[in-house]
Amino acid sequence: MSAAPFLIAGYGITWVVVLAYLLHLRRRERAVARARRAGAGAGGPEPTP
Amino acid sequence: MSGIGRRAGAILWKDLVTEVRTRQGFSAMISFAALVLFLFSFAIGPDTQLLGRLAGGLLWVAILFTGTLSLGRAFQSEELAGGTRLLRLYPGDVRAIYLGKLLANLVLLAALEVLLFPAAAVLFQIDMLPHAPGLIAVAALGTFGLSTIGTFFAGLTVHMRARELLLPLLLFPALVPVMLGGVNATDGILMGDPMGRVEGWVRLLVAYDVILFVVCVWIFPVILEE
Amino acid sequence: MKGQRLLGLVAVVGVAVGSFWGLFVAPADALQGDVQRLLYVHVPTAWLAMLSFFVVFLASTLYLVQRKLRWDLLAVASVEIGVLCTALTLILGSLWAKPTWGIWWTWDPRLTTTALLLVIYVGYLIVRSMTDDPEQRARWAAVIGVIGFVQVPIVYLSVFWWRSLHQPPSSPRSMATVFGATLLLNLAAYTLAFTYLLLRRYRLARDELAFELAGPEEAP
Repeated sequence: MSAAPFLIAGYGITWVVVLAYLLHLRRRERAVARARRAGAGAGGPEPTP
Repeated sequence: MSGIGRRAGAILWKDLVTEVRTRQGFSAMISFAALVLFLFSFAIGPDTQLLGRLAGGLLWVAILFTGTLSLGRAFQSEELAGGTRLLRLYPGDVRAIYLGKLLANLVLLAALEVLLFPAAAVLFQIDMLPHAPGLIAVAALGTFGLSTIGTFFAGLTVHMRARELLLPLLLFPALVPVMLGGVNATDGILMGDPMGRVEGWVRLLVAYDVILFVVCVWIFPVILEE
Repeated sequence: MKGQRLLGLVAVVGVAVGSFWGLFVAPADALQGDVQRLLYVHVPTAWLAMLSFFVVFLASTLYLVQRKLRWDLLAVASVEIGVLCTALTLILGSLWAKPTWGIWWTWDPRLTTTALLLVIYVGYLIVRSMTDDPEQRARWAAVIGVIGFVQVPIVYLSVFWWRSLHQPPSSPRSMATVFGATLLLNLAAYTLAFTYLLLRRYRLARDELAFELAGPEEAP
């Protein structure tokens, strides 16, 4: 059996998954940053003591 | 220590009295366990010899499924009456609550097994009587393991949304050693222990019971905090 | 922040060099041929899965002892990456098993235990999503983080007795030097990548928690 398809699938899936995870992290990081800025601009609710 | 024992006993007594007075829970459990045995027999086919060889597996699947359902109700009386707030009102060490619930569940499952094993012997045409002491020991060890981790997860999930899904999700992976130990020891005993492996499985069950009991007793107070 | 970026860069370069080495420079295995090159990803992901769940166990225990939310943040960061690595380990193992053993799956103790690990820690993540109260979430999670890890050796042992067929674990010592060196290089590179991801996920968890607790007015 040729090894190439298995190697491509194995390495490919690993890298794609890691990349997708990184993109997911970045999306959430930006969402937090955006929410903070928006909240600061609009005043936002009282911070809990 | 005797204080904990007395409080655990009180909770055990309260749960058993509730169970005896309402009665619905236990009869439903028995019918359910019998149904599991029937369903698996239907799935496998009417070959009695084959069913006899699979008896250990079928029995333990029935016990695990029924045990999970019964554990889901372990904290129900308190949950309906006010949740963990009520549990925390019980005086003394909260570990007594865990021990009491664990014992109550053990009694229920033992009562179930007293009926289930003979039923399986009849359904699958196995001669269980000569092996009774070994079978009782294995059933006791397996049931203790199931109740130990089961009571713990039941207490943990009692306030979660979708707890009827979460309890088995957390419980079943944790019960793999109980399942493997129980099934293999039961089958080994029923076949006269041809490979001499029953002792190893029994040791595994003992080790599992001891380790998880210690860890669960140690951590249990955390899950009742607020 | 700058150090984190540098770490990420080094990790990417390391993984690239390691994979290139594993795929093109190291010689093919005498018995298995080129398929054996999957080892250079399979073993690192398996190692990282174990490492991350050990980190979860440590962080959960520390949380239960000290009750500082930062341990919970570390635990959730580690679980997420651990679940990813476990899933990758299973996929890669399957891809390796098909050409070498002729099957996608076998009831081998390590395979089965890995699959159960995946279920246990997916359960951990689901339980976390069941409450919005950070303290309660941390408590529930820490409990599962401890119990889940305690289960692992005994689950492994029970499945091991039930059935056994895996090749003995690939460690650098049990292989020829070229393979061993390539594997070590990859292990180091993937561990760096893990550290980078863990740090980044931890910071994200911390920022999200700060936002959740203090409201939007809190300075970053």
